[in-house]
Amino acid sequence: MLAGIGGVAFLAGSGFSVDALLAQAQAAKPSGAFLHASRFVTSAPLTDDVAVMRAWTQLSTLDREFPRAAERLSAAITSSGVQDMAAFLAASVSKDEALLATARTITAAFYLGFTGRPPSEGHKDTTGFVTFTGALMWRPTIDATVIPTYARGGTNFWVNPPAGTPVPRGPRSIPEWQGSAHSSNSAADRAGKV
Amino acid sequence: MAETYDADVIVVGSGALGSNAAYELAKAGKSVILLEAGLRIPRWKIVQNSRNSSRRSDYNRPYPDAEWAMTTESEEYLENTGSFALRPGMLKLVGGTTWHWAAATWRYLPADMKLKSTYGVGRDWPISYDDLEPWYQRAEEALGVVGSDEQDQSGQGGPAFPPRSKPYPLPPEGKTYMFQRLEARLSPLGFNFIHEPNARVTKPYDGRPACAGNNNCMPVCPIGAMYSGGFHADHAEAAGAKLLTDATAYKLEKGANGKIVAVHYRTSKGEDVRLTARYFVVAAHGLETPKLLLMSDVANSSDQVGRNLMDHTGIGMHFLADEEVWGGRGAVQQGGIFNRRDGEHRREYAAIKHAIANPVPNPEVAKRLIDQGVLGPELDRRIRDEASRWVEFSTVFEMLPHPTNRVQPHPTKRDALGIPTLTVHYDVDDYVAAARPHAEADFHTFVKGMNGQLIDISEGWQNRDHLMGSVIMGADPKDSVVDGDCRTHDHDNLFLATTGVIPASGVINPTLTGVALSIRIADTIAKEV
Ligand SMILES: Cc1cc2nc3c(=O)[nH]c(=O)nc-3n(C[C@H](O)[C@H](O)[C@H](O)COP(=O)(O)OP(=O)(O)OC[C@H]3O[C@@H](n4cnc5c(N)ncnc54)[C@H](O)[C@@H]3O)c2cc1C
Ligand code: SF4
Repeated sequence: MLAGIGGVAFLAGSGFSVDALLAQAQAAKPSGAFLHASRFVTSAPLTDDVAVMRAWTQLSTLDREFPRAAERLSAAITSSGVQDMAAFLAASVSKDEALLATARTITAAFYLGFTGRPPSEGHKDTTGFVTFTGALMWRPTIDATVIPTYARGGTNFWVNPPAGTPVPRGPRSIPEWQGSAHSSNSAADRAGKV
Repeated sequence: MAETYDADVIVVGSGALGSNAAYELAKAGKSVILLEAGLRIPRWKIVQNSRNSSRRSDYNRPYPDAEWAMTTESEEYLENTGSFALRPGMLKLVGGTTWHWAAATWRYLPADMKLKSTYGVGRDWPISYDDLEPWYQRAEEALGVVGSDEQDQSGQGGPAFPPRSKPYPLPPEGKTYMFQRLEARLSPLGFNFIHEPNARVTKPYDGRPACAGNNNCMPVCPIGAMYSGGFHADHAEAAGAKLLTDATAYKLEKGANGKIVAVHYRTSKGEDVRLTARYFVVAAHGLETPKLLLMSDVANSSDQVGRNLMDHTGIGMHFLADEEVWGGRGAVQQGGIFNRRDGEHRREYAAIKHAIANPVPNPEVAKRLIDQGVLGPELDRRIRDEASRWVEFSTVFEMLPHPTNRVQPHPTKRDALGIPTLTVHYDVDDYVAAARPHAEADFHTFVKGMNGQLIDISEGWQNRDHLMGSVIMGADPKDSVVDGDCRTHDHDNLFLATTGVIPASGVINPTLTGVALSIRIADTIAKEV
């Protein structure tokens, strides 16, 4: 939806109608270069075609140069011959600021699950929805924290740390609220005997 | 011939405050009409909208923002003229703004309600804590409040305080691991950690399931464990109240002997309806209530309607602890540090509350890292590491009432119904500014105590969405709008059910107090109608 992308003010004066740009972008499927670059920089299979389509449409609408930038990035990945993003970042090709900027734009879309930048003030913006549960930012902590709205434990599961958390010197988990001083600062705790 | 009325009582606004008043009156056998500007929206739709939002940190996004029932989501709705852009989150639908609150449900302290006589600043309430206590209890039972009966909520480390006639309706939820770790390491430095009473039930209660830690209280609890006004709008209807949606009140009509005789509302199709009643309760939110009064030239002999506007103006801070604390498990906030909630310092500077925020931190952590240019496998590694150590404090200050801080109907702008939008003038006062260095000093001590790395302390001031003072309560009709019963000084049969009556803001979230006052209003009216 146009309002969601909020592109009206953004593109004003560019000489292009937003509707025309959107129609153009929507008509075109995500380019192979975009898909290739996106999978490479995120190390994720990105199998949700609808989310990929949204990201592509929105990024190409926000920045008319984006399809070309994605192509450049994809070509640079291929010609550098590196196998993964870690190697790419270590290679000399990653000195190219423009390539890195494109990688960041793509990473932001799939990690954060939206395109564009929310403004620090005001309610109109250029953001567009890509994916919620598929946002890659949840991936590194999925064993420890929930994707909001999707609870996994029962009431009070939060009293204990996630499995594998190093045991700090200090108190055990204390589920009751009995006043701060004695509940979590017993002499045994202070002596670090836990 | 006896006069006939459309209802015994008309309540304007179906938020937590209006719905609780309507329910109590209907339960007492009165005929009640509840007018609501917005529509009724099922929870699943809001949850879906919330998941599909491109700006999840904007809590208004999943909710309707119609041109005929505008919310603060619309830039056109509220024009700021002061040095601070006061733009509180607010909603217009059945149930009101508590659809996306965080459900903190504190009682004021006796001293909060006697601020002027205790500390020589601000104003006293015309009623005392003891006067309100029985209604606090009823409000807690209505909302299903969970709380600790054993803590000194004034933060001074004393015995249980303030006094309660009965225990909390429900036991508190367990401490999050993060809370335990902060408490273990910071309380030896003298900081008093207090559980935040809240309306997220820990056991099935009043048709609501126990909180399961979806961590989405703001903008919407997907399972309804968290209270919202919609529950009491439903209860009011079940008890016989008539709920009319798409009905924006735009005029209170004055009659003889200082009585209000009718309310006029307009629908989105432009239909105008006039309804009469014996009594009227305006519960249309802290900004819209004064607007309706001013548009109707009602209750304003003191010239205080819309003035004395207060929010719990705030600041915030993020840091990384030196150990894994794993914020984001459980609800979005839990409790905090209350040492500066009360004390002699309030003669000089504002009371301070440091709340520990607990949203899943990945969105903020990931955005920050991407902005720093972190990419590839390093990004995943850093997200995990920083999310596990991320700590956020959200701090608020006590504001004093100033007549110059005010809300008014906009002189020229109109919404789709032809009703004025709002203009708000707000400046943060010296009392708050003088408190800021103390809050920041605390921040630095927290970081040091956790051997942490400070990420940022917010610049400027932040909105906290707690509207008070705009239809201020007081003993003197010359300088206040309502009396201690929330009855307008000017009109015997007009009561205001809004946090806007609160004359001294303290630092605690105001809604429980608003609900307690609303139930008390219902009791008063039930005796008279
Ligand atoms: C993000 C957020 C978090 C918050 N967290 C907390 C918290 O943890 N604890 C706390 O105590 N408070 C919190 N608050 C504040 C709390 O939401 C409000 O204090 C509370 O909703 C006020 O209730 P109310 O019934 O007065 O107003 P509302 O809930 O705003 O309800 C007013 C109702 O009146 C309707 N209305 C308005 N004008 C008219 C009209 N002219 N005619 C007919 N109907 C009308 C509106 O549509 C609305 O439904 C929070 C607020 C926000 C935004
Ligand atoms: S933590 Fe989840 S279940 Fe609990 S109140 Fe918040 S959103 Fe609802």
